[in-house]
Amino acid sequence: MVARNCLLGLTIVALLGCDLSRVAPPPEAVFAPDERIDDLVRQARRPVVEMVTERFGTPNRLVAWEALPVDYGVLEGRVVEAYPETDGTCWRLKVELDAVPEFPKDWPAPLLQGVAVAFLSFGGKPVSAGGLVDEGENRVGLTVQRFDPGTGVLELAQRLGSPPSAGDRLRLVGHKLQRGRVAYMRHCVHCHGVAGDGNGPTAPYLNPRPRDYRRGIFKFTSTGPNERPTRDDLKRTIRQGIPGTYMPSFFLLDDGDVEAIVEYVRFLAMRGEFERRLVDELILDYSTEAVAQRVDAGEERSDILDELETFLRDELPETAAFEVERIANAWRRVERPEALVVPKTPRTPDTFESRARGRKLFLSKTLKCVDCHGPTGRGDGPMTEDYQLNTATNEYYPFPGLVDAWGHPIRPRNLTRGIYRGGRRPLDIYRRIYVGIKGTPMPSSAAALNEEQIWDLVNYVLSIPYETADTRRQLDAVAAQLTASEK
Amino acid sequence: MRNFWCLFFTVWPIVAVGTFVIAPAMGWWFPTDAYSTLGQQIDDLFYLILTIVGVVFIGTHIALGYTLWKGSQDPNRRSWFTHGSHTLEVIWTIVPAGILLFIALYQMDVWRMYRVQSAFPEDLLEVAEVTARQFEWRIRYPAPGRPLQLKPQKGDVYAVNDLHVPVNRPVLIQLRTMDVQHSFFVPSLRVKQDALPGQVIPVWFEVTKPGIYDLTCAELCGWGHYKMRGRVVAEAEEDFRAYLQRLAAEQAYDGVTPIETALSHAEKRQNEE
Ligand code: HEC
Ligand code: HEC
Ligand SMILES: [Cu+2]
Repeated sequence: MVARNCLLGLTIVALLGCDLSRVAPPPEAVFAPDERIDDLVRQARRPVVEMVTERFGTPNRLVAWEALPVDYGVLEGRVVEAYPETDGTCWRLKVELDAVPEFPKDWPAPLLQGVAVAFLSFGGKPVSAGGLVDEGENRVGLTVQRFDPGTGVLELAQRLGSPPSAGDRLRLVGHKLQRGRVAYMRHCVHCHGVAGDGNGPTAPYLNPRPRDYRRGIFKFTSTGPNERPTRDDLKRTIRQGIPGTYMPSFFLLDDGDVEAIVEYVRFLAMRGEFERRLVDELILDYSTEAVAQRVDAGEERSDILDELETFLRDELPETAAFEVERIANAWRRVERPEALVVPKTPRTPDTFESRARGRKLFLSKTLKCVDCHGPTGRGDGPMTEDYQLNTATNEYYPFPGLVDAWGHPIRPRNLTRGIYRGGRRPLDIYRRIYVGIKGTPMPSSAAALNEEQIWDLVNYVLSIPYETADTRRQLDAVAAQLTASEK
Repeated sequence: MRNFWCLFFTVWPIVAVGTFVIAPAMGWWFPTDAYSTLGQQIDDLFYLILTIVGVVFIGTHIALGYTLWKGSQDPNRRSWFTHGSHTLEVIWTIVPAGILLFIALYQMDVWRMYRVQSAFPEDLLEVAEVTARQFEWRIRYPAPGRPLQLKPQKGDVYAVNDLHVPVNRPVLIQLRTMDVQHSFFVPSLRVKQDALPGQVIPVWFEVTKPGIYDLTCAELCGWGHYKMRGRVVAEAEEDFRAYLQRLAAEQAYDGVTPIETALSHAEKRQNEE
């Protein structure tokens, strides 16, 4: 009897333990603001955060800003029938989409929800400008509450004054971006962070640190120095990973997911760049420190704040419009074929002579490869022992060695290991030498070299892992002969 | 109450047998059949052991249920106390020991073929070196037409999370790890081998059906353990060769010479040889 009661008791306890409804939901994701925003005076902080939030939204309510070259994912369709919900809070539309994209398994509940709706025609008349419905004074930002691709019934979150009529055309914007967010949150966020700031919970344990996208600087691209990466570059990074770092390969991720993640990464990068430019605009004159200095210099605090207010009202929107244009252009430009760095001549055959010429270039005083990579390519050149100047503060870093654009110590690659983070095709190495590695001290050597010389250098670099002291001596001998015959 | 425990102990063997009978139909069985030669033999061993254990389990429970039932029939019956029966003890020691010995000897062949290098098939093709690292599988094939070397060679062909092998012939991979312990696990092929730091471990298998098989890590290797998803693609030998040629050509891409041209050159060179 006792045993039976015990058993019963245990079962009940176990069942109670499984009551998952009591588990608190995770905290809502937020885009962490730029680190420097805290340096601004309070009156300057709010407008920046508000402007960024207005243009880009929050992780759970993304905004598709048309000024940016992001493929948010557009679906177009036709209203077949519209009827009000019985309680009158929303409209239900039966719609027919022109083309239904291939939905992943968990589509559409989390993915179409919140997507923006824009009418191209309403009540039989075409709608202009952005396609949002103009209801007298209020521009209504319509979003999807629910969509069932099976029946084609679309539920709008807001109620319109008058219903659309059958035949009206509409556009749903943002499904791809939302899919990107879902996949990014699943696969990338713990390293790259919600805002793409490279500050996810696992980031502190990694070296090199996960990329902070917010400057638009990417290392392994097919584009020129100072240029953004192409979609294909990002896709390649995601598919192949970055060997030799913690950036894993997502080889088996669904194609649609990868494409959506690429858009989301670009979106985060543009968001970060925009935010950064706004902060740049304000930090010189309106950081707490600058304001204190100006007050010390005799200005009235209230005057400075008035000036700030005028600036925020009259100039910031213009600056923002200008900056977003610049950012959009930078990302648009690289998608054109002429933006790619492509060799003009095929690779020089990988002969002993070519490698010898390459080794000579590698050792040359003008290119300085050895200053960083060392004479044997082990990544132990003299620069790794020097203290570097921080150009932002004009002070030397407290530790020796090279530093990257994000302020982290960085070592030149050990070229004897045969691990190439940006890919091992001759084309990849060509691009690394031609363009340099953006955000790192590895410089562009395009100006100092012609095509043949770059290929010689590529041939040499690719042979370093198989080099022995003997072959190096032979190469040096041939290189010396070459130099002699030149003179 | 009197019959409760008799029923309780009799029900379990019935439930167990019932479960096993309906399991394959309900999809509760192995996710797939074994698609490798050794895998089929490993499954056979599994079924053999399952049968032995099943028979013992059912037998024990029937005996237990019967004893309980018998004892509960006569309320006036008193238990008798006994201490030790030499014969009985000898029997229940020798019989299980015999069974264990039988299993140990019987599985030796499969074990030997799987793990002992001198027993590996002779026409093994060394396809690739597979290096586990946190958290992916880095794969190094020899250049098309060359044998795999222990050390990386110029012309080696690299891939990640995507191992291609020819079907219907024994193939061998050299397994290693760059950091911590991992385990190379292809459930549908019944291949599972730990990768140990500092060691190169040869693993062979012969896939019997072309297809794409999941490759996972079966050793908890860190927070990203679940990310170590790869695949083994088993394909006809000429498809495998074509795949390797293409991968090699892609890896030699210089941005100017089209990959197709490089491929046709390689083909011509091979035909000449
Ligand atoms: C385990 C941590 C980790 C995860 C998970 C991760 N990354 Fe990374 N990622 C990194 C690290 C570390 C780097 C920097 C490597 C370097 O600097 O060489 C990086 C770099 C990048 C870069 C920059 C490449 C370049 O050319 O500069 C992109 C883009 C990127 N990751 C995208 C992603 C995406 C998309 C995902 C999710 C699908 C993801 N990462 C998941 C760690 C991670
Ligand atoms: C000022 C220091 C510096 C100089 C000069 C320099 N490098 Fe580098 N190099 C680096 C650093 C730092 C990295 C690692 C960047 C990273 O990926 O984080 C690197 C990486 C590389 C890589 C690896 C690319 C990859 O995909 O993994 C190659 C190849 C390379 N350098 C070749 C050269 C050659 C050739 C020269 C001379 C023309 C040269 N470097 C000059 C600092 C330098
Ligand atoms: Cu693992």
